[in-house]
Amino acid sequence: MKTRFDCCRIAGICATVPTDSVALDALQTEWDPKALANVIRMTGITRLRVAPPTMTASDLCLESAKRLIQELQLAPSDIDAIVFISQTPDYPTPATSAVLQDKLGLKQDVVNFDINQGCSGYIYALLQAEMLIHCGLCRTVLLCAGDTSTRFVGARDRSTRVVFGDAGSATVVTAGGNIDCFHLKTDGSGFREIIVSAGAFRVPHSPETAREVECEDGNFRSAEHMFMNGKGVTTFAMREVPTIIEAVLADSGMNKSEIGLFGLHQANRFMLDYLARKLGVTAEAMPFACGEIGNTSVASIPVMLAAAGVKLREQNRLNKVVLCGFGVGLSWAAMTTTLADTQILPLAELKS
Amino acid sequence: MDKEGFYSEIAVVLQVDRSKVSDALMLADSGWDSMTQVSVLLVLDQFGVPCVAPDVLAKCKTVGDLVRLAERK
Repeated sequence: MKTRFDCCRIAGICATVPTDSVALDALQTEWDPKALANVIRMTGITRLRVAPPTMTASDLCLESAKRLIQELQLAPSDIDAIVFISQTPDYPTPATSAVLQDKLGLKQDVVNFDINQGCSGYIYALLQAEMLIHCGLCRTVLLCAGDTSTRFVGARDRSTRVVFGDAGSATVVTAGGNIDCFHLKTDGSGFREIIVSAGAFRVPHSPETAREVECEDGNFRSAEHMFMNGKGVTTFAMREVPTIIEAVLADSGMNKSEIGLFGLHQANRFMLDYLARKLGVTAEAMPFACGEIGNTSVASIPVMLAAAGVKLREQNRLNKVVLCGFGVGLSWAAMTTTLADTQILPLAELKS
Repeated sequence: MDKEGFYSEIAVVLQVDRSKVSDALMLADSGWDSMTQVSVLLVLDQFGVPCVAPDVLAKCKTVGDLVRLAERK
């Protein structure tokens, strides 16, 4: 699916991580030090931000939203829609966006809904905002994208424990005149590649689903923990990400040499290094900025922008930008845009 | 195929000295875990063999098996 809008601008981005963190070195007492060192070397992740039990993704998004609204000098009444994008909502019901509407003091005359998307979710969020503005319903949309993926991670699962961190973000999209191109794709046949297979309604929670077992890959996890097929996801990303980026660039009329930033989902360093080589772009143009944060799922692109924003602006890399998210679903999406006039706030921290 | 280049990349992935890498090197003796296998997928793609199925890769026992995969393009 592809489309283009010429009626919006990304006014501001803010991201927040928990103050609490875990250094991966500390896991040497639990796992083979050599294997752990290899993982750290390959992923480029040395530390994970971990939300304490009382902190949710929406708390991290709320903190981001408050800061961003203040920075942009918006009145709560200016916001016409609030969209919460997450796989870790506050409640099975109601929508967390409704809870945030109240906490932010937004007007009642506001559109609110949640979107359950992960790694591709930030692009979906921006698409949704632009659709709401394009149809004339809204002039200012607040997107809250965040996840506490560490809650899904089994403590004895080496494939996920060393990868995922927590974060929340806020993005304001307003009516404007920038031209943004979108490409979106889905392959639901790969839904098992990244999955929490129990605890919702297909396989409800039970003592059985909560029990950790040793799996074929030698890791321990329960059915209520996240399973990620690293090899399958890597093959998928290798196959699809360069293709969708080339396609969205072709539609935008821009070529790779014009692009200052390829802002990709921050899966891990070796994946981004590979994708940069495959696309023929430099590592500076495709930064991995989450080595001390972890893979924060839907928030990873705004977290990267917040963490690297000052440097990216100094290097003049924000005029023409490609953003691309890929992963759980399987779902992948890319867009071209400009962040030249976008207020990107430095990464914030939230204490428990 | 640039076999020497392939051996060098495999040495980096397996975290062994290049001098130890030959067709006979057993992968199981060199930390052949899922992270390493993912890295090898990327090396194979670099050498013109994209999208190797994970189950095909899992059947490889030696560096020689990887070389044969790479030469299969």
